[in-house]
Amino acid sequence: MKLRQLTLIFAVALLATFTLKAQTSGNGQGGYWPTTAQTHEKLYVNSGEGDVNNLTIIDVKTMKIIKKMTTGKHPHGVASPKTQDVLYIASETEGTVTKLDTIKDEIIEVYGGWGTEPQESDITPDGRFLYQPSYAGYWNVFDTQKKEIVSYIHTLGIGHNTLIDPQGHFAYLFPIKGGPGHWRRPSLGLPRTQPNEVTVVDITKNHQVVGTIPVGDGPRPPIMSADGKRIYMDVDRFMGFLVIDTEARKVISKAAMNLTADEQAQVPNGHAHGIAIGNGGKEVWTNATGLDAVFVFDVTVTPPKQIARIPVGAGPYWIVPSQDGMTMFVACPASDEMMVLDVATKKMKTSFKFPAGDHPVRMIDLAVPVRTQVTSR
Amino acid sequence: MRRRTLLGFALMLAGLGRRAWAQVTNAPPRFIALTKPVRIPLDSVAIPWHPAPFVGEAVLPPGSQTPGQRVLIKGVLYRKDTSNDASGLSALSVICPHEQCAIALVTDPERLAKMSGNTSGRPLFECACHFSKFDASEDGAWISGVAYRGMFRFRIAGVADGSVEINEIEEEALSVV
Repeated sequence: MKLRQLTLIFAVALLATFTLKAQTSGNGQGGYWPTTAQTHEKLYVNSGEGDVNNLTIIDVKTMKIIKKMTTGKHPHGVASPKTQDVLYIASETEGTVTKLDTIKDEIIEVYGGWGTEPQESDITPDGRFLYQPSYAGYWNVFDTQKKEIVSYIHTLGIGHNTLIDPQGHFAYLFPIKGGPGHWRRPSLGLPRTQPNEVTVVDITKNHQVVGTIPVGDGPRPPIMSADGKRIYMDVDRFMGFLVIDTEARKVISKAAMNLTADEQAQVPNGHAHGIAIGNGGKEVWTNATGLDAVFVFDVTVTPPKQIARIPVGAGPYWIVPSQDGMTMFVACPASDEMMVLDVATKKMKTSFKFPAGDHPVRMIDLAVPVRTQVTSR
Repeated sequence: MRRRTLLGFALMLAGLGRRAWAQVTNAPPRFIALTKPVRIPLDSVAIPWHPAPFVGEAVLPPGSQTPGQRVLIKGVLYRKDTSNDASGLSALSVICPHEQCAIALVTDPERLAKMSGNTSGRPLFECACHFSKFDASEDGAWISGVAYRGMFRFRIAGVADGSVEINEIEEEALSVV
């Protein structure tokens, strides 16, 4: 009886999202994939507010703006496959995913039907399956060849962040815990709890859930090592990050920021937000949003050791590395700027000012093919 | 007849329950004393919509998850009108109740006109991370966005010796920031 009820609830939820048509892309935090042909490195910066020109495309070599474009309002997810010739941007307010041609920097198509507020997605390296989370508490698995959702994965928590390993074997789903503000969003009839765990899905076995990784509190932005063996993940109520062994499927250590007593009192319930790997996988960088700083850890030792603290603009919220992992881009929405940090010296190289109120948030750095060769489309 | 009586009774109970729930949810917020009052020169907020930043300190009360824990809360004091006493002042926490991001006061008319959810043209507070909007004229009342409530309020005790004294903060703020 209980099973029948659950099945019915899920079926209703599926019907509610049936209008769909979608496409997919990427690895939320560029810099994973070695380039094999001539490429043009571009940084795609999504601005949180503003109805027009909310995507800024920057030439990384010159740090000049190439183009400004308009995608869905309140962009929240960015993903691109190994070929990096397309980019998918999820708009949480409009409930759409925009597919962008990164060679021409033109919109190819806009897809809807993702359920409540699509969030941070990821895509298999071959570009076949886009894992697109919905705030309602599930992930849509979108087959980019068939152009249809082929599976829904319910995780109980709020669908929020996603990682797919470099082999395209496992997907890791990170539902955030949420709180009073989060529960106001429609759940589409699905039960929602605060699971404090990462859900592991075997992509090769018809997108079956094959395990969970308890993490003690609500998952926050994660990043995966290039070999897929480690996940570094921000987590609720902790100023630092967890280290997860993906093979053992467990947390193996924690990296805590060194904070003064006054700083701890400023963020007693705070968490880091935005995480990136640099310097050939030897360092993890993560933001202390409430303290206007980026913290750098040596992850070649256990537990990771803090080796630097870099003051940045107001409210650092997202961080991505350049393709060579030697530059970090930090979005600071509260001061409408992006800081460009040098990984070798741990100093700021330059900063990039956005118009007041633009609030740059999520970014992705792509090595875009110069000529159209093998593509994922 | 019996069914009607039963139905009537059930409706009455539902009405009473609804009313009780409304009373609970509209209950005035509880305030807690700051460790020491914050004093800000009245002159520094003489001009309307020019906020003066400050930091208030409090400790979590007994019965909370971590009683005795020290909490520092960033706030702003600002004037909403041209009066020169405490009546036109407001003191608010600038930490968003939603995800603890920074909230800032927006007064630039051009920017206000572009902001979604703003039809009044009045100054607004905005969260930079998730873009919730709050009414600066109404002591940070929620206007739009994902925040579940308005901004947390400090309580102004009054003006003495040319200084505004802020002495309390909403208790709920301590378990959120």
